[in-house]
Amino acid sequence: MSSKRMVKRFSAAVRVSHWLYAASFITLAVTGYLQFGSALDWMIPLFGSLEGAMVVHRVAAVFLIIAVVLPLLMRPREVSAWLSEVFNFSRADADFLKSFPAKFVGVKKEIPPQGFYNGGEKINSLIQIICGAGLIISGLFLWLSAAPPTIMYPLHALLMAIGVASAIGHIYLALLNPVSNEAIGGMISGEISEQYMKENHGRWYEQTYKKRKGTP
Amino acid sequence: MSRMARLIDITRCTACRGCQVSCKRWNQLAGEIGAFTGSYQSHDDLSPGRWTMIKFYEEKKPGGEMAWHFRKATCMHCADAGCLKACPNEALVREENGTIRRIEENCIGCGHCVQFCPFDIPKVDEVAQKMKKCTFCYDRISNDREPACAKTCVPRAIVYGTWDEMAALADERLAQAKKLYPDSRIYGKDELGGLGVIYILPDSPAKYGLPEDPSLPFTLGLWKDVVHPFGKGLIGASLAATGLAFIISRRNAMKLKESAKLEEGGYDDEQQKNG
Repeated sequence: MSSKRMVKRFSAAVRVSHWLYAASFITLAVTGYLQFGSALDWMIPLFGSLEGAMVVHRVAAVFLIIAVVLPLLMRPREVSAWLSEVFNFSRADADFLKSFPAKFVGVKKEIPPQGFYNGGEKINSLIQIICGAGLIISGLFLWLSAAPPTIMYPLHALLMAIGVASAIGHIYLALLNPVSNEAIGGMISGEISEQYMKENHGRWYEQTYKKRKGTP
Repeated sequence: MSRMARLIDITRCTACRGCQVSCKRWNQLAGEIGAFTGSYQSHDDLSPGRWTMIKFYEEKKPGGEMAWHFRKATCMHCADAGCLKACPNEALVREENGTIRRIEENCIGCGHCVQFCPFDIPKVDEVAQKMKKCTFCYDRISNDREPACAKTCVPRAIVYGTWDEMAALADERLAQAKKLYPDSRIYGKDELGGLGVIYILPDSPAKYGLPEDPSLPFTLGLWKDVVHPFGKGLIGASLAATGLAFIISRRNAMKLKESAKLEEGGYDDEQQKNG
Protein backbone atom coordinates (compact mmCIF):
# COMPACT_ATOMS: atom_id res chain seq x y z
CA MET A 1 0.00 0.00 0.00
CA SER A 2 2.52 2.50 1.16
CA SER A 3 4.80 1.61 -1.69
CA LYS A 4 2.25 2.85 -4.18
CA ARG A 5 3.09 6.15 -5.82
CA MET A 6 0.16 8.47 -5.75
CA VAL A 7 -0.73 11.24 -8.17
CA LYS A 8 -2.75 14.34 -7.39
CA ARG A 9 -6.00 14.43 -9.37
CA PHE A 10 -8.56 16.85 -7.94
CA SER A 11 -8.09 19.88 -5.70
CA ALA A 12 -9.97 20.18 -2.42
CA ALA A 13 -12.27 22.91 -3.73
CA VAL A 14 -13.32 20.78 -6.68
CA ARG A 15 -13.88 17.74 -4.46
CA VAL A 16 -16.02 19.68 -2.00
CA SER A 17 -18.12 21.12 -4.80
CA HIS A 18 -18.45 17.68 -6.41
CA TRP A 19 -19.83 16.14 -3.23
CA LEU A 20 -22.03 19.13 -2.48
CA TYR A 21 -23.41 18.80 -6.00
CA ALA A 22 -23.83 15.04 -5.59
CA ALA A 23 -25.71 15.33 -2.29
CA SER A 24 -27.98 18.09 -3.59
CA PHE A 25 -28.51 16.28 -6.89
CA ILE A 26 -29.63 13.06 -5.17
CA THR A 27 -31.91 15.00 -2.80
CA LEU A 28 -33.38 16.92 -5.73
CA ALA A 29 -33.82 13.75 -7.80
CA VAL A 30 -35.66 11.95 -4.98
CA THR A 31 -37.92 14.85 -4.00
CA GLY A 32 -38.55 15.76 -7.63
CA TYR A 33 -39.34 12.19 -8.58
CA LEU A 34 -42.24 12.23 -6.09
CA GLN A 35 -44.03 14.52 -8.57
CA PHE A 36 -42.84 12.55 -11.60
CA GLY A 37 -43.65 8.93 -10.72
CA SER A 38 -44.96 6.88 -7.84
CA ALA A 39 -42.05 4.44 -7.32
CA LEU A 40 -40.60 6.49 -4.44
CA ASP A 41 -43.86 7.46 -2.73
CA TRP A 42 -42.88 5.38 0.32
CA MET A 43 -40.21 8.01 1.01
CA ILE A 44 -42.75 10.82 1.50
CA PRO A 45 -42.87 10.42 5.35
CA LEU A 46 -39.15 11.19 5.35
CA PHE A 47 -40.02 14.75 4.37
CA GLY A 48 -43.15 14.97 6.51
CA SER A 49 -45.43 15.34 3.53
CA LEU A 50 -45.30 16.04 -0.17
CA GLU A 51 -45.40 19.76 0.63
CA GLY A 52 -42.39 19.18 2.88
CA ALA A 53 -40.59 17.39 0.06
CA MET A 54 -41.17 20.41 -2.18
CA VAL A 55 -39.61 22.68 0.45
CA VAL A 56 -36.62 20.33 0.68
CA HIS A 57 -36.45 20.40 -3.13
CA ARG A 58 -36.04 24.17 -3.12
CA VAL A 59 -33.48 24.18 -0.30
CA ALA A 60 -31.44 21.51 -2.09
CA ALA A 61 -31.70 23.55 -5.29
CA VAL A 62 -29.97 26.46 -3.55
CA PHE A 63 -27.13 24.16 -2.46
CA LEU A 64 -26.81 22.75 -5.97
CA ILE A 65 -26.47 26.24 -7.40
CA ILE A 66 -23.84 27.03 -4.74
CA ALA A 67 -21.97 23.85 -5.78
CA VAL A 68 -21.86 25.18 -9.34
CA VAL A 69 -20.89 28.75 -8.47
CA LEU A 70 -18.28 27.87 -5.82
CA PRO A 71 -15.63 26.28 -8.09
CA LEU A 72 -16.29 28.91 -10.75
CA LEU A 73 -15.21 31.56 -8.24
CA MET A 74 -12.53 29.60 -6.40
CA ARG A 75 -10.90 27.49 -9.09
CA PRO A 76 -11.78 29.10 -12.42
CA ARG A 77 -8.66 27.66 -14.06
CA GLU A 78 -9.43 24.08 -13.07
CA VAL A 79 -13.02 24.50 -14.24
CA SER A 80 -12.03 26.00 -17.58
CA ALA A 81 -9.49 23.19 -18.10
CA TRP A 82 -12.31 20.70 -17.49
CA LEU A 83 -14.65 22.51 -19.86
CA SER A 84 -12.06 22.81 -22.65
CA GLU A 85 -11.27 19.08 -22.34
CA VAL A 86 -14.90 18.06 -22.25
CA PHE A 87 -15.89 20.10 -25.26
CA ASN A 88 -12.95 18.74 -27.22
CA PHE A 89 -13.97 15.23 -28.17
CA SER A 90 -11.06 13.51 -29.91
CA ARG A 91 -10.38 10.31 -31.82
CA ALA A 92 -8.98 8.65 -28.69
CA ASP A 93 -12.26 9.34 -26.91
CA ALA A 94 -14.23 7.63 -29.65
CA ASP A 95 -11.83 4.66 -29.45
CA PHE A 96 -12.39 4.53 -25.71
CA LEU A 97 -16.11 4.11 -26.23
CA LYS A 98 -15.45 1.02 -28.37
CA SER A 99 -13.63 -0.63 -25.48
CA PHE A 100 -16.17 0.65 -22.95
CA PRO A 101 -18.67 -2.27 -22.99
CA ALA A 102 -15.97 -4.62 -21.65
CA LYS A 103 -15.08 -2.16 -18.89
CA PHE A 104 -18.79 -1.71 -18.11
CA VAL A 105 -19.21 -5.41 -17.25
CA GLY A 106 -15.95 -5.50 -15.33
CA VAL A 107 -13.53 -7.02 -17.86
CA LYS A 108 -10.10 -5.43 -17.80
CA LYS A 109 -9.04 -4.58 -21.32
CA GLU A 110 -6.31 -2.51 -22.87
CA ILE A 111 -7.73 0.92 -23.56
CA PRO A 112 -6.37 3.53 -25.96
CA PRO A 113 -4.36 6.17 -24.05
CA GLN A 114 -6.71 8.74 -22.56
CA GLY A 115 -6.19 12.29 -21.39
CA PHE A 116 -7.09 13.65 -17.96
CA TYR A 117 -10.68 12.61 -18.70
CA ASN A 118 -11.56 9.53 -20.74
CA GLY A 119 -14.24 9.49 -23.43
CA GLY A 120 -16.90 8.18 -21.08
CA GLU A 121 -16.17 10.74 -18.40
CA LYS A 122 -16.38 13.43 -21.06
CA ILE A 123 -19.80 12.24 -22.18
CA ASN A 124 -21.07 12.10 -18.61
CA SER A 125 -19.64 15.58 -18.00
CA LEU A 126 -21.35 16.90 -21.13
CA ILE A 127 -24.69 15.38 -20.14
CA GLN A 128 -24.43 16.73 -16.59
CA ILE A 129 -23.37 20.22 -17.74
CA ILE A 130 -26.22 20.52 -20.24
CA CYS A 131 -28.83 18.94 -17.95
CA GLY A 132 -27.59 20.85 -14.91
CA ALA A 133 -27.72 24.21 -16.66
CA GLY A 134 -31.13 23.44 -18.17
CA LEU A 135 -32.53 22.17 -14.86
CA ILE A 136 -31.32 25.23 -12.97
CA ILE A 137 -32.78 27.64 -15.54
CA SER A 138 -36.12 25.84 -15.96
CA GLY A 139 -36.29 25.23 -12.20
CA LEU A 140 -35.82 28.92 -11.44
CA PHE A 141 -38.64 29.72 -13.86
CA LEU A 142 -40.96 27.20 -12.19
CA TRP A 143 -40.01 28.46 -8.75
CA LEU A 144 -39.99 32.21 -9.21
CA SER A 145 -42.35 32.97 -12.08
CA ALA A 146 -46.06 33.34 -11.38
CA ALA A 147 -46.85 32.10 -14.88
CA PRO A 148 -43.81 30.24 -16.25
CA PRO A 149 -43.75 29.38 -19.97
CA THR A 150 -45.45 25.98 -20.02
CA ILE A 151 -42.55 24.40 -21.94
CA MET A 152 -40.56 24.58 -18.68
CA TYR A 153 -42.60 21.73 -17.16
CA PRO A 154 -41.76 19.06 -19.78
CA LEU A 155 -38.22 20.44 -20.12
CA HIS A 156 -37.52 20.12 -16.39
CA ALA A 157 -38.88 16.55 -16.37
CA LEU A 158 -36.92 15.52 -19.48
CA LEU A 159 -33.58 16.89 -18.29
CA MET A 160 -34.14 15.27 -14.89
CA ALA A 161 -34.68 11.86 -16.53
CA ILE A 162 -31.57 12.16 -18.72
CA GLY A 163 -29.43 13.51 -15.88
CA VAL A 164 -30.56 10.80 -13.46
CA ALA A 165 -30.08 7.98 -15.98
CA SER A 166 -26.54 9.19 -16.66
CA ALA A 167 -25.81 9.71 -12.94
CA ILE A 168 -26.84 6.12 -12.21
CA GLY A 169 -24.18 4.91 -14.66
CA HIS A 170 -21.65 7.34 -13.17
CA ILE A 171 -22.31 6.11 -9.62
CA TYR A 172 -22.10 2.47 -10.68
CA LEU A 173 -18.76 2.94 -12.45
CA ALA A 174 -17.29 4.86 -9.53
CA LEU A 175 -18.51 2.69 -6.66
CA LEU A 176 -19.39 -0.79 -7.82
CA ASN A 177 -17.43 -1.55 -10.96
CA PRO A 178 -14.25 -3.46 -10.01
CA VAL A 179 -12.27 -2.20 -13.01
CA SER A 180 -12.91 1.50 -12.57
CA ASN A 181 -13.81 2.04 -8.93
CA GLU A 182 -10.26 3.01 -8.00
CA ALA A 183 -11.08 6.34 -9.59
CA ILE A 184 -13.24 7.29 -6.63
CA GLY A 185 -10.04 7.86 -4.65
CA GLY A 186 -9.42 10.83 -6.93
CA MET A 187 -12.64 12.40 -5.70
CA ILE A 188 -12.23 11.45 -2.01
CA SER A 189 -8.57 11.92 -1.10
CA GLY A 190 -7.79 13.73 -4.33
CA GLU A 191 -5.19 11.14 -5.33
CA ILE A 192 -5.04 8.05 -7.51
CA SER A 193 -2.22 5.54 -7.92
CA GLU A 194 0.34 6.11 -10.61
CA GLN A 195 -0.38 2.59 -11.84
CA TYR A 196 -4.04 3.43 -12.41
CA MET A 197 -3.05 6.68 -14.06
CA LYS A 198 -0.74 4.87 -16.46
CA GLU A 199 -3.32 2.20 -17.31
CA ASN A 200 -6.36 4.42 -17.68
CA HIS A 201 -5.08 7.86 -18.58
CA GLY A 202 -2.02 7.12 -20.74
CA ARG A 203 -1.93 10.46 -22.46
CA TRP A 204 -2.25 12.41 -19.22
CA TYR A 205 0.62 10.29 -17.79
CA GLU A 206 2.83 11.02 -20.78
CA GLN A 207 2.05 14.74 -20.76
CA THR A 208 2.74 15.02 -17.04
CA TYR A 209 6.13 13.31 -17.18
CA LYS A 210 7.26 14.90 -20.43
CA LYS A 211 6.62 18.28 -18.88
CA ARG A 212 8.69 17.32 -15.86
CA LYS A 213 11.58 16.13 -18.00
CA GLY A 214 11.38 19.31 -20.06
CA THR A 215 11.76 21.52 -17.00
CA PRO A 216 14.49 20.07 -14.82
CA MET B 1 -74.96 8.14 -13.37
CA SER B 2 -74.84 10.13 -16.56
CA ARG B 3 -72.84 13.26 -17.05
CA MET B 4 -74.47 16.31 -15.53
CA ALA B 5 -74.15 19.90 -16.70
CA ARG B 6 -75.29 23.45 -16.11
CA LEU B 7 -76.80 25.56 -18.84
CA ILE B 8 -75.92 29.20 -18.24
CA ASP B 9 -78.07 31.39 -20.42
CA ILE B 10 -76.41 34.79 -20.53
CA THR B 11 -79.32 36.19 -22.56
CA ARG B 12 -81.49 35.70 -19.47
CA CYS B 13 -78.94 36.58 -16.80
CA THR B 14 -79.62 39.90 -15.06
CA ALA B 15 -76.29 39.99 -13.23
CA CYS B 16 -78.09 40.01 -9.89
CA ARG B 17 -75.21 37.99 -8.36
CA GLY B 18 -77.60 35.78 -6.43
CA CYS B 19 -75.51 32.76 -7.54
CA GLN B 20 -72.42 34.41 -6.12
CA VAL B 21 -74.11 34.73 -2.73
CA SER B 22 -75.73 31.29 -2.63
CA CYS B 23 -72.39 29.69 -3.59
CA LYS B 24 -70.79 31.40 -0.59
CA ARG B 25 -73.64 30.35 1.67
CA TRP B 26 -73.76 26.69 0.72
CA ASN B 27 -70.00 26.26 0.70
CA GLN B 28 -69.57 28.35 3.87
CA LEU B 29 -67.06 30.72 2.33
CA ALA B 30 -66.38 33.92 4.21
CA GLY B 31 -67.22 37.22 2.58
CA GLU B 32 -64.28 39.20 1.24
CA ILE B 33 -64.27 42.92 0.76
CA GLY B 34 -62.27 43.87 -2.30
CA ALA B 35 -61.08 47.17 -3.65
CA PHE B 36 -63.25 49.07 -6.12
CA THR B 37 -62.65 47.53 -9.53
CA GLY B 38 -63.64 50.56 -11.58
CA SER B 39 -66.77 48.85 -12.82
CA TYR B 40 -69.89 47.15 -11.56
CA GLN B 41 -67.86 43.99 -10.93
CA SER B 42 -67.65 43.05 -7.24
CA HIS B 43 -64.07 41.74 -7.12
CA ASP B 44 -61.24 41.66 -9.63
CA ASP B 45 -61.17 37.86 -10.01
CA LEU B 46 -62.11 34.53 -8.53
CA SER B 47 -60.20 33.62 -5.38
CA PRO B 48 -59.68 30.59 -3.13
CA GLY B 49 -62.78 31.73 -1.27
CA ARG B 50 -64.81 32.89 -4.30
CA TRP B 51 -65.65 30.06 -6.66
CA THR B 52 -68.11 31.88 -8.87
CA MET B 53 -68.78 35.52 -9.72
CA ILE B 54 -70.34 37.71 -12.35
CA LYS B 55 -67.67 39.29 -14.50
CA PHE B 56 -68.44 42.54 -16.30
CA TYR B 57 -66.98 43.63 -19.60
CA GLU B 58 -67.45 47.06 -21.09
CA GLU B 59 -67.16 47.59 -24.82
CA LYS B 60 -67.06 50.85 -26.73
CA LYS B 61 -68.78 50.31 -30.05
CA PRO B 62 -67.49 52.07 -33.20
CA GLY B 63 -70.31 54.62 -32.98
CA GLY B 64 -69.19 55.60 -29.49
CA GLU B 65 -72.07 53.74 -27.89
CA MET B 66 -71.24 51.68 -24.80
CA ALA B 67 -72.15 48.02 -24.57
CA TRP B 68 -72.17 46.14 -21.31
CA HIS B 69 -71.55 42.39 -21.16
CA PHE B 70 -71.52 40.13 -18.16
CA ARG B 71 -71.06 36.44 -17.55
CA LYS B 72 -71.12 34.07 -14.62
CA ALA B 73 -67.57 32.73 -14.35
CA THR B 74 -67.14 29.29 -12.82
CA CYS B 75 -65.29 26.02 -13.30
CA MET B 76 -66.49 24.37 -16.51
CA HIS B 77 -65.74 20.77 -15.42
CA CYS B 78 -64.34 20.13 -18.93
CA ALA B 79 -64.44 16.71 -20.57
CA ASP B 80 -60.81 17.26 -21.56
CA ALA B 81 -59.62 18.87 -18.34
CA GLY B 82 -56.13 20.40 -18.38
CA CYS B 83 -56.00 20.73 -14.59
CA LEU B 84 -56.65 17.03 -14.13
CA LYS B 85 -53.89 16.08 -16.54
CA ALA B 86 -51.37 18.52 -15.06
CA CYS B 87 -51.93 17.47 -11.44
CA PRO B 88 -48.85 15.58 -10.19
CA ASN B 89 -50.49 13.94 -7.21
CA GLU B 90 -53.90 12.67 -8.34
CA ALA B 91 -55.57 15.41 -6.36
CA LEU B 92 -58.13 15.90 -9.13
CA VAL B 93 -60.48 13.17 -10.27
CA ARG B 94 -63.34 12.97 -12.72
CA GLU B 95 -66.49 11.67 -11.10
CA GLU B 96 -69.04 9.68 -13.01
CA ASN B 97 -71.40 12.66 -13.10
CA GLY B 98 -68.74 14.77 -14.78
CA THR B 99 -67.53 16.70 -11.74
CA ILE B 100 -63.81 17.46 -11.69
CA ARG B 101 -63.46 16.93 -7.98
CA ARG B 102 -60.50 17.91 -5.86
CA ILE B 103 -59.26 15.57 -3.16
CA GLU B 104 -58.28 17.76 -0.26
CA GLU B 105 -55.56 15.56 1.25
CA ASN B 106 -53.81 14.96 -2.08
CA CYS B 107 -53.65 18.61 -3.07
CA ILE B 108 -50.36 20.32 -2.19
CA GLY B 109 -51.14 23.67 -3.77
CA CYS B 110 -48.34 23.33 -6.33
CA GLY B 111 -50.39 25.31 -8.86
CA HIS B 112 -49.64 23.22 -11.96
CA CYS B 113 -53.40 23.12 -12.62
CA VAL B 114 -53.46 26.92 -12.65
CA GLN B 115 -50.99 27.08 -15.54
CA PHE B 116 -52.91 24.60 -17.70
CA CYS B 117 -56.50 25.77 -17.21
CA PRO B 118 -57.68 27.55 -20.38
CA PHE B 119 -60.25 29.51 -18.33
CA ASP B 120 -58.01 30.62 -15.44
CA ILE B 121 -60.29 29.07 -12.83
CA PRO B 122 -58.19 27.30 -10.15
CA LYS B 123 -56.85 29.58 -7.43
CA VAL B 124 -54.20 28.56 -4.91
CA ASP B 125 -54.59 29.40 -1.26
CA GLU B 126 -50.91 30.07 -0.52
CA VAL B 127 -51.37 29.85 3.25
CA ALA B 128 -53.26 26.56 3.33
CA GLN B 129 -51.23 25.30 0.31
CA LYS B 130 -54.40 24.09 -1.39
CA MET B 131 -56.02 24.84 -4.71
CA LYS B 132 -59.67 25.87 -4.52
CA LYS B 133 -62.34 25.98 -7.18
CA CYS B 134 -66.02 25.31 -7.85
CA THR B 135 -66.99 21.79 -6.71
CA PHE B 136 -70.12 21.65 -8.91
CA CYS B 137 -71.81 21.30 -5.49
CA TYR B 138 -70.74 17.68 -5.59
CA ASP B 139 -72.33 17.06 -2.20
CA ARG B 140 -75.68 18.40 -3.40
CA ILE B 141 -75.80 16.86 -6.85
CA SER B 142 -74.81 13.40 -5.64
CA ASN B 143 -77.90 13.65 -3.41
CA ASP B 144 -80.15 14.62 -6.31
CA ARG B 145 -80.21 18.29 -5.48
CA GLU B 146 -79.32 20.98 -7.96
CA PRO B 147 -76.20 23.12 -7.41
CA ALA B 148 -76.70 26.10 -5.11
CA CYS B 149 -76.24 28.61 -7.95
CA ALA B 150 -78.88 26.94 -10.14
CA LYS B 151 -81.36 26.70 -7.27
CA THR B 152 -81.19 30.39 -6.47
CA CYS B 153 -81.28 31.72 -10.03
CA VAL B 154 -84.45 33.80 -10.37
CA PRO B 155 -84.65 34.25 -14.17
CA ARG B 156 -83.75 30.54 -14.65
CA ALA B 157 -80.56 31.56 -16.40
CA ILE B 158 -78.75 28.68 -14.65
CA VAL B 159 -80.39 25.34 -15.31
CA TYR B 160 -79.10 22.02 -14.06
CA GLY B 161 -79.70 18.60 -15.62
CA THR B 162 -78.00 15.84 -17.57
CA TRP B 163 -75.56 16.96 -20.21
CA ASP B 164 -77.77 15.69 -23.02
CA GLU B 165 -80.81 17.48 -21.65
CA MET B 166 -78.86 20.70 -21.30
CA ALA B 167 -77.47 20.37 -24.84
CA ALA B 168 -81.02 19.96 -26.16
CA LEU B 169 -82.31 22.82 -24.01
CA ALA B 170 -79.46 24.97 -25.33
CA ASP B 171 -80.71 24.49 -28.88
CA GLU B 172 -84.21 25.50 -27.80
CA ARG B 173 -83.01 28.53 -25.89
CA LEU B 174 -80.76 29.57 -28.76
CA ALA B 175 -83.72 29.68 -31.14
CA GLN B 176 -85.50 32.03 -28.71
CA ALA B 177 -82.43 34.13 -28.06
CA LYS B 178 -81.73 34.64 -31.76
CA LYS B 179 -84.89 36.79 -32.00
CA LEU B 180 -83.45 39.32 -29.58
CA TYR B 181 -79.73 38.82 -30.16
CA PRO B 182 -79.08 37.75 -33.75
CA ASP B 183 -75.41 37.06 -32.95
CA SER B 184 -76.10 34.70 -30.08
CA ARG B 185 -74.47 31.30 -30.03
CA ILE B 186 -73.88 28.19 -27.93
CA TYR B 187 -70.52 27.87 -26.18
CA GLY B 188 -69.38 24.67 -24.51
CA LYS B 189 -71.00 21.94 -26.54
CA ASP B 190 -67.97 21.18 -28.69
CA GLU B 191 -65.23 23.01 -26.81
CA LEU B 192 -62.68 20.71 -25.12
CA GLY B 193 -64.77 17.61 -25.69
CA GLY B 194 -67.86 19.30 -24.27
CA LEU B 195 -67.83 21.49 -21.18
CA GLY B 196 -69.82 20.84 -18.03
CA VAL B 197 -71.12 24.38 -18.47
CA ILE B 198 -73.00 25.19 -21.67
CA TYR B 199 -73.39 28.91 -22.25
CA ILE B 200 -75.84 30.77 -24.43
CA LEU B 201 -73.83 33.86 -25.33
CA PRO B 202 -75.53 36.86 -26.93
CA ASP B 203 -72.32 37.72 -28.80
CA SER B 204 -68.84 36.38 -29.58
CA PRO B 205 -66.97 34.63 -26.71
CA ALA B 206 -64.14 37.18 -26.77
CA LYS B 207 -66.56 39.83 -25.47
CA TYR B 208 -67.17 37.67 -22.41
CA GLY B 209 -63.54 36.96 -21.60
CA LEU B 210 -63.72 33.48 -23.06
CA PRO B 211 -61.19 32.01 -25.50
CA GLU B 212 -62.70 31.67 -28.97
CA ASP B 213 -61.41 28.13 -29.40
CA PRO B 214 -60.13 26.87 -26.04
CA SER B 215 -57.40 24.24 -26.26
CA LEU B 216 -54.83 22.70 -23.99
CA PRO B 217 -51.23 23.77 -24.69
CA PHE B 218 -49.27 21.14 -26.61
CA THR B 219 -46.66 21.30 -23.85
CA LEU B 220 -49.11 19.52 -21.54
CA GLY B 221 -49.35 16.52 -23.88
CA LEU B 222 -45.60 16.65 -24.46
CA TRP B 223 -45.03 16.61 -20.71
CA LYS B 224 -47.45 13.90 -19.64
CA ASP B 225 -47.72 11.69 -22.74
CA VAL B 226 -44.17 11.86 -24.13
CA VAL B 227 -41.64 12.98 -21.53
CA HIS B 228 -43.07 11.01 -18.61
CA PRO B 229 -43.15 7.56 -20.25
CA PHE B 230 -39.81 8.25 -21.99
CA GLY B 231 -38.19 9.42 -18.75
CA LYS B 232 -39.48 6.46 -16.76
CA GLY B 233 -38.21 4.10 -19.47
CA LEU B 234 -34.81 5.81 -19.55
CA ILE B 235 -34.30 5.68 -15.78
CA GLY B 236 -35.54 2.06 -15.72
CA ALA B 237 -33.19 1.09 -18.55
CA SER B 238 -30.25 2.75 -16.80
CA LEU B 239 -31.01 0.89 -13.56
CA ALA B 240 -31.45 -2.41 -15.38
CA ALA B 241 -28.21 -2.01 -17.40
CA THR B 242 -26.07 -1.10 -14.39
CA GLY B 243 -27.67 -3.82 -12.28
CA LEU B 244 -26.97 -6.42 -14.92
CA ALA B 245 -23.43 -5.13 -15.47
CA PHE B 246 -22.83 -5.26 -11.72
CA ILE B 247 -23.84 -8.93 -11.53
CA ILE B 248 -21.71 -9.83 -14.57
CA SER B 249 -18.71 -7.92 -13.24
CA ARG B 250 -18.90 -9.70 -9.87
CA ARG B 251 -19.19 -13.07 -11.57
CA ASN B 252 -16.18 -12.28 -13.74
CA ALA B 253 -14.16 -11.25 -10.70
CA MET B 254 -15.13 -14.45 -8.84
CA LYS B 255 -14.25 -16.61 -11.81
CA LEU B 256 -10.82 -15.04 -12.03
CA LYS B 257 -10.30 -15.54 -8.32
CA GLU B 258 -11.29 -19.21 -8.53
CA SER B 259 -9.25 -20.08 -11.58
CA ALA B 260 -6.02 -18.42 -10.49
CA LYS B 261 -5.90 -18.56 -6.77
CA LEU B 262 -2.22 -18.36 -6.06
CA GLU B 263 -0.85 -18.49 -9.56
CA GLU B 264 1.78 -15.91 -10.25
CA GLY B 265 0.39 -13.16 -12.43
CA GLY B 266 -3.10 -14.39 -11.58
CA TYR B 267 -5.88 -12.27 -10.21
CA ASP B 268 -4.92 -12.42 -6.50
CA ASP B 269 -1.26 -11.93 -7.25
CA GLU B 270 -1.99 -8.89 -9.39
CA GLN B 271 -4.25 -7.46 -6.75
CA GLN B 272 -1.51 -7.87 -4.11
CA LYS B 273 1.13 -6.35 -6.32
CA ASN B 274 -1.05 -3.41 -7.13
CA GLY B 275 -1.73 -2.91 -3.56
